[in-house]
Formats: sequence, C-alpha cells, structure tokens
Amino acid sequence: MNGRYGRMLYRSKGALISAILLAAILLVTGAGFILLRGDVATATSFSGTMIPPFSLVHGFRDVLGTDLLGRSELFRLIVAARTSLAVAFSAAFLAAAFGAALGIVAGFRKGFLDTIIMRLSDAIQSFPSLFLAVLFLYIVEPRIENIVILLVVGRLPMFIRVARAETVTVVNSLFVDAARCLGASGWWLCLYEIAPAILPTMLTLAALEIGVLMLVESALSFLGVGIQAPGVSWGIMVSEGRDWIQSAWWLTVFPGLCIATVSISCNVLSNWLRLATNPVERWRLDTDVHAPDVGLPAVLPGI
Amino acid sequence: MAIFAIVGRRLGQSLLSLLFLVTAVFFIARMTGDPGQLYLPLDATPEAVAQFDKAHGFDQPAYRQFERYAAGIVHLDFGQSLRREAPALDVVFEAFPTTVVLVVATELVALVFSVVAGSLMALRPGSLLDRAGTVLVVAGASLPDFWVALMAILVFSVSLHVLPTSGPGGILHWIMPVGVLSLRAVGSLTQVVRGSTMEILASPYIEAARGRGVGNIRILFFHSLRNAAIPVITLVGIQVAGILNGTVIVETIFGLPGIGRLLVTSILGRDFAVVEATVIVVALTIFAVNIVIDLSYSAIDPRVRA
Amino acid sequence: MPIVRFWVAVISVCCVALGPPLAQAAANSTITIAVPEEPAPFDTCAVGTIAASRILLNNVADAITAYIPETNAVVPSLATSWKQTSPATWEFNLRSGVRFSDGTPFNAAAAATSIKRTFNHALNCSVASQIFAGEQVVPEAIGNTRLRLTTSRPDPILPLRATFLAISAPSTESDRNTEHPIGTGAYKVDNWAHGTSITLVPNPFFNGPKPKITQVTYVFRPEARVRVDMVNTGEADMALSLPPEFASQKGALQFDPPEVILLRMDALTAPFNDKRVRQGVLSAIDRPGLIKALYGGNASVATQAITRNVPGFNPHIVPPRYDPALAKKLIAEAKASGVPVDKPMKIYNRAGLVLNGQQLAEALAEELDAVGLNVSVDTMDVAPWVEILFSHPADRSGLLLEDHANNLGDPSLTVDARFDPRRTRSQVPKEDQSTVANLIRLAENGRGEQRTALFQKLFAFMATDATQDAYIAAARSTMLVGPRVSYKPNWRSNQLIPLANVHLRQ
Repeated sequence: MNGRYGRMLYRSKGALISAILLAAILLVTGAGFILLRGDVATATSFSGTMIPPFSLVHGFRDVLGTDLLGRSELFRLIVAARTSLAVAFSAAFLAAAFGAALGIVAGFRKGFLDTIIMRLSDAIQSFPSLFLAVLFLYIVEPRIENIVILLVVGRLPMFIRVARAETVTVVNSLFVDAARCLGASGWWLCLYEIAPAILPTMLTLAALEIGVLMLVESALSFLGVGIQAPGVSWGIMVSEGRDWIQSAWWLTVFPGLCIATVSISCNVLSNWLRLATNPVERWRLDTDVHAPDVGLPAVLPGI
Repeated sequence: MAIFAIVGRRLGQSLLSLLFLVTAVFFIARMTGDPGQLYLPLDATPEAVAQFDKAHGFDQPAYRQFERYAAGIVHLDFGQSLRREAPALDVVFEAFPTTVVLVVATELVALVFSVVAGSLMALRPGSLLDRAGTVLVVAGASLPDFWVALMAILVFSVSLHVLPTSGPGGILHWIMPVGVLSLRAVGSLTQVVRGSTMEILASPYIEAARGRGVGNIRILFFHSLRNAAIPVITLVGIQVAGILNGTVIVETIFGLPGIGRLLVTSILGRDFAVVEATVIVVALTIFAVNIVIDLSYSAIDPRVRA
Repeated sequence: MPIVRFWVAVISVCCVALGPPLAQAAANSTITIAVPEEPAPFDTCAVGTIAASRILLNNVADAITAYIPETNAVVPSLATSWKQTSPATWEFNLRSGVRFSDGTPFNAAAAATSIKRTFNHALNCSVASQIFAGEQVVPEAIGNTRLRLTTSRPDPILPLRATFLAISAPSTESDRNTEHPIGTGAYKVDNWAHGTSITLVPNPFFNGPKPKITQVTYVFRPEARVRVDMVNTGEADMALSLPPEFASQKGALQFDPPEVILLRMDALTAPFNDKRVRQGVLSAIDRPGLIKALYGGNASVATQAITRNVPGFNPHIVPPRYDPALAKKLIAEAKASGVPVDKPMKIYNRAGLVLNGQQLAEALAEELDAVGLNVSVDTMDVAPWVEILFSHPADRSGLLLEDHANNLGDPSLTVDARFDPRRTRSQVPKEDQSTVANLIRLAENGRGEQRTALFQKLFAFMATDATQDAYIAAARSTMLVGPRVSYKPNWRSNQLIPLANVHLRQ
C-alpha cells in the first residue's frame, strides 16, 4: 500500500516537488525548535541593522539579511514558521473535523437539524469573513487562540456543505445498506462507514485551505488585528516590511515567498491527493499513460 | 409562476440567515467598546461621557437599544453616524457604488479570463500551456494581496509610468485594483472551468458532434461552455463574499472610497450605526445575488425548468 | 428614495470609470497634497486635531491671532491688538473690512458667535479640549470691533491659545458639527468628495494678496508608501506624515515637531513606586542605539517632556547614560528589599501612535528584560490604550509608550496634562507630589522670564527626581516635496501648512 502511494507520488513530478518542499520546511521548523532556543531570534543588535542578504558580515546568521533592529531574518523566518504553520494547519484540520461532524449529522439525519445547520452555514458563508473577523478581533484580544477560532468559523461552511453532500451520496450506497441489514445502528454507521468514506475529500479540501488560511492571516496582520508581538508570523513580517519594499526588499520578499511556497505546494498536493485517494481516478497516477487529471475538484477551492 | 416559487422559497430561507446576522452584528458592534471614550476629548470627565452616552442612547440596557435598533431597521433608519453629520445609511450608500463597480468588474474580468484560459487549457490537457497556466494562476492566488498591490504600483506607476498610482477616476485607475482583486478569483475559477470543460469534452455527445465534423471552436463555445455554466455560476455566487474580503485591503491601499475601507474606519472609530448599516446592506446584496443565481439555473439548464 | 439614489450613484460611478480619464496635473497653478486621513469632523472648531488644522487653519479659516514658528511670536491676525485687562480678561481690537467666504461681514458679533460655538459641549470641539484643556471662555462683543474674552481661570497666555480660535461664519450650524466650514481665509472649500479628497479654491471675498495657487486638492491615502509613490510619479506635489524610513528619498524634508517619545511608568504601583527601579529603567535604555537603528539617526535624545522649541525647555538637563550594569545593580537591590521586580508587566503600545512604535516597544522590552525586569509588549488600538492612559486599571499596570505632543507651544499644556497630581493622567510618585504641586503653582503664577525659569526648574525636577517618565527620543518628522513646489517646513509643520508658504517653482 505504501509502496503504491510512493510510486504514484514519484510519477507525478509536481506533487513530488511540493511534497519535498513541504517536508523540508517542516524539517527546518522542527530543527528550529531545538536549535533556536530562547531569544536567539529576537536578539537585537544595533551594530548590524538593515544588512542586505547574501553577505556574510556576521556569519551564517545574516545570510538572509537583518531587519530594523538587527535581528537575523533567517532566524526570524524559522521562528515565524512555527506560528504560521501552526495557525494554518490547526485551523484547517479543526475546520475539517467540525465541518465533517456537522455535515455528517446534517446529511444523515436530514429534517430539522439539517435545515438549521445549513441555514447557519449559509449565513456565515454568505458574509465576507474578513469583515466579521476584523470586528471580532477588536473586541477580543487578538491572541492566537482567538484568531484560530475565527478562521475555523469562517471556513466551516465549506466543509459542512461538502461533508453533507458526500454523506448523502454514501448513505444511499450499497455498502451502507448492507451494513444496515446486518443491524448497524446510526452512530456506528456514521463513525465507521460514512466518516472513512468522506475522509479523502475532507483531507483534500483541508490541504487546499492551508494556503488560503496563511493568506488570511497575513491580511489580518496588515489590518493590524493579526497576531501581535511578541509573536512572529510570516504575515506579520510581510506586513511590517512593506514600507521598505524598495529599499530593504528582503524584509517582505522572503516571508512572502515562504507563504507562497507553502500555499502552492498544498494546492498541488491537494490535487494529487484527490486522485490518489479516489479508486476510480487512481489509474491516472498509477500507469505510464500520461492522462492528466480531469474533473472538478468536487470541492470549490477556498477564497 | 415557477419563478415566484423559487424566489419566495429562497427569500424565506434567507430571512432566517439574515435575522441571525442582524442580531449577531448588533451585539458584536456594541462589544467593541464605549464610543463615548473615543469621541469625547481625552480628559473628558465621567459625567461628560455619561451625558454623551445618554444623548445617543448608549446608556440604555442592551435589549432596549436592540428594540430601538430593530424598530429603526424596519423603517430603514439605522441612526446617525457618529463621525459624519449624516444618517448612517446615507454614508453607506455613498460608499457602496464604488465597491459594487469594483466587485462586478472583478467578477467579469475573472470570468472572461478563466473561461478563455480554462477552455484553452482543457482543449490541450497536459500540454505546456496547461501546466504553465495552472502554475501561474495558482501562484497568483498564493501571494498576499497587499504585497501584490504595492508591487504593482511600484512597477506600473513609478517605474513604467503607464498607470496612475491610486484613487478613483477614469478606467486606467481601475486596472490595478481590479487586477489585484481578481487574482484569487481567477485562481479557482480557471481550475473549475478547465475541469468542467474537460469532463464535457470527453462526453459521448461531444464525440458525436466531432463525428459529424463540427470544428473545435464551435464545440467549445456552443456546446461545452453552456454545460459548464452551472458549476461556474455557483462558484461566482460564492466568490462574491470572497471578493468583498479583498476590497478591504485593495480600497485602503488604492484610496478608493468604498465599503471595505468604510467598515474598517467605522470599527476603529466605534461608529456603530455605520457598522451595522454596512453589514446589513452587504448581506442583503449577497442574498439578492444568490437569488439571481438560483433563477439563472432555470434559465440555463432546461432540466431544472421542468 | 434611497434605492433610486443608489442606482443613480452606481451608474455615475460607472460613467466616471468608463469615461475619459480626468485631466492629470491640469493647469500649472494647481497642486495636490497627499495626507493619510480625512478630517472627522471637518469643522473650524476641530483645529485642535492635526487632520483638520493642516487643511483649515490659516488657509480656510483665520484665527484671532497667528503664530510665527520661526520667531515664536504671536502676531495679529483677525485681531490687530490686545491687552490683558484683568487676570482672567483680555480685550482684542478686531480688524475691519474682512468678509467670510460666503460674503457676510466679519465683526465682533460674528467672532463671539463662533467662539461660543467652539465651547459648546454638544460639539465636542477639539480646540476646547486640547488647546484650552477644559478652560471655559466666554466671549462678549463690544461694538463692532472689540471683543472681550473672559476665562474661567487666570490665563496669561490667552493670545497664544487664541491662535487656534479659528472663526467660522455666523451661518454655521450651532448645535452640531458642520460639514461645510466657512472662514475668512485666503481659500474656501470648493468640494469635499467623501473618502476621496477635499478641494480648496481662492476665497473671492479675501482682501489680502491674491494667492498664486488657484486650486489645492488634499487626497486621502492611508498607506504611506502610496503617498510617496504619488509624489514620485508627479500625481501629488507633497506627501505628509511619512515614517522615518522614507527620509532618504529624493525631495524628503525633515523638521522637529514638538513631540517627545517617552515611557510612562506606573509610579503609583509596585514595582515602579520604588525609585531604584525607576532609575534602573532610565539607565537600561540605550537611547543613541535605538535612535540610530529605528530612526536612522533622525532623532535626538530626549531629556524632558518638551522639545527645544517650546519655551521652558531646560538645556542643562543631562540624559541618563546607558549603563545596564548599574541598572542591574539597582534592580537587584530593590529586589533584595522585597520589591516585586519579577512581576510580569507590559509595555502598552498604541498602534500607529509612535513612529516605528512596534519595533521600539519590542526593543525596549528586551532591554528591560536584560536588567532583571519581566516585560513584554501589548499593542492595542485607541480606546483601550486611552483607558490605561487615564484610569490606571489595577490589572494593567506597567509602562505606557507615549508620544506626547505639545501642540500649543507652551509648557503649561504638558504640565497640566501630565504632571499635575490632581489629574488622573499624572503618575507622579507619592513622595514627590507636594513638591511638584508647589513648583507648578509657582510657575503658573509667574510672568515673562521668571515664568520660563520656573518651568525649567519643574522639568529638571521631573527628569531627575520624580522620574515618572523615561524620556527616549524626539524624532524628526518627514515629508516629501515634489519638483513643482518649494516649501520650507518648521517645527509646527505637522499641524499647520499655510498655503501662502508653498511656492510654485516656475
């Protein structure tokens, strides 16, 4: 089984590169946890401020340049990765988990519960999430937990909608009928038949959302209600450095590239996942016939 | 008759969502803090703050304020703006047209571009055009929009002198804001058009048309696009909210006097009435857009009409 | 009906968008100025705030007197002469033959109406709250050309404050703020496109020299980078309120505003009620290093709460030297005697208030942590920050990063607002309160040179003994001027850009 996925990944060059890039980023971030302790990344140094990158004035630490307070851009990027990735990944998967739960309930039970869930979901989805996020973040402190909650609530409707649609399809399928004949209860069905069936789609959608969430986080930082000091995130770095776009370009370009890389990689991988986890489409990746993937993402890519 | 049924059902469904939104916004806006603190001079005495609150009705208990608010809404009266000497609804309507034009232009540009690009990519799947195109649109949608906006101004205005930097004005002033706004929409719309078109192109009746000798272009435009219309239109409806998100940033950077910027200034300035009016006007517009989309389904797809 | 108006507006926006582009940089005698925000309210009585004063004061609306920043002199404007007839009364002789831009004549009655309006509580005029600091002024018209102003407390500097009493026409709404300010200045408001721009044209009834610039448009661009780009492409002739990172742009001009960046310590609560801890903070800050890093050297070390330009500035105060070892020692001593120096505290920073405030707060927190305190940064927006400024909530004690602006140009503004122990903003430690109160009373009762000397003494005491604040820097302000115009900024240029001083280069 694993060998099969490996072969499929290898055949699809785009997905392979994306996977390697993502793994590299995660590895470096993890290494940062161990190696960059304490205030290595926040140590200010007034003697070495605004050094351009690709010079080794103070050694390896300045290879990506330094900022206004002389802090190493490289170290700050690695520390910021923790926050950005944590926020994006956790919000995506939390939204997927809750969305799946609510969607399954709605699709399985139908009736009144279904209507309420769908109407609330409509209400949230039809309103620009950034408007509400800005409003909320002026009330509650813009701490990481609150930002993640807001991001989850904003993306929930998408997951609910898809989960519900898939649940409806699955419920009518043969293997569920078979299980019912064998006397399975509602709960059992939901947990052991339906959830695994919709898992691939949920994962695919979650992967897509990760990129989107990183961009929303940077928008919140631009508006001043994102993660606050002393936290660092790629979004904060891009936003803070924007006055220096012409002079100290490295302050915005590098964090921006990081966001874009993670976002694009997740997008490509998510498309690959959609094919790899779908037995009907899997042949495209399995054989040497180079048939490119077709078909709508059954999910509508996040906005 | 069928139309009224559709609209009526949709209205009923939307009403519940609207009520929820209206109530939520009222309480949220009031939780942002006391406007008296903000409008009165820094060293205003507590009595002065109390007097200000009394004059504007902020001293009443929440449910009483909500009653006034709900009663007002029914008469389309959202109260006076605290920052401007005008009714809140007027302030919102002043800003709304700019955003409407921005969103509509963005959606049209995104549609045209995605339809053309997506169809071309679907015609030759796996080719260089297809792969490069996919990478480009995905990359465009993966960059922070304020960064792209500032870079665009540097490149097109300051270096190349072909476009004005910012502000409302003639068509040249709208090119960059619309361009930046449409990046996200183009990213997803192109992939949907491409996928949808590819599915249809592989279907039997297109094969039949090809067998009859119908040329590619004709096939594309007369047969497949019409069928691809439904998922595309669904996506367009959902994207309106997303594009509105983008207007908050684009309007701030390009100095366009629209709703996105108005909302942020009003939240910062604790101008409750304008915040509430903005939210409700935007929500109503989106519901209207959704109804139009539902109606257009029956126009496009004969199967729905029956 | 609102719906009809709405659709008309949509269609007109479309027409503008699809129509021919507006003529850029029209006639040679028009200029465009890019500012960050729209004035709210756009009223002559709101010239206590910068957004309104930079457009209105001395351009659209003249005041009773005027101020020459280069010589620190108060000169005649709408009043030709004045004298103090009692500690709380001044009489002004008004100019005749002046008209408002709507044609109505300026006289004592009009001046009295306008001043009464300024002090009407319902309007919340920033002139009354910022410049007069709660002092009430009752005007009285005597005949056509004499105006008597009675103040609620003795005010020896009323003519200086009167430079902000911009006079509006009697036709102005008296019960609420106006959106159409009408004054006696060389220009009048031609158009206000909400959210976009304000346009001024020459006042036809102005009897002074005809202005050479025939149209001035102020455009609103919140993003500093975009204001700079507009000057670089020629779309604007001036860009105001720029952060220090643009100081090296071609055409950038700098000046020293009356603003001091400082860290106010909560000297009424532990641990800052212990003088050693406060002294430790003063020695822990590397002022020259911060100035070089954050302001590119475009700032001077601040030694007191006012800047050089404000009378009462004491040139003999020496700033504390950067000595982290001494700071550590002092704080360790305090800790040993039971002062809770480890208490987690925050530097409360208001977003957008201080230039590069975010980085400054982070650097300060690090420097204070290094000497034994436990400090982190909390950035917030206006309302909660103002609350901490005034009411010292017990759960939010710590340090407040402030940018104190003395817009009046007189030390009494700073002293009243920040040092008077009776005011809630003051954090003068308990043991120094009576000394400070005495010094304030002496200074405010003084006259002329003696008054200035007494204020100098007060500032010295605050800096070295009471040490409620850690003064950090006085940062220069930056503006960008394009090739079409020339302008020489002075220390008041943040609040006041008289268009008479902006010259077109021919």
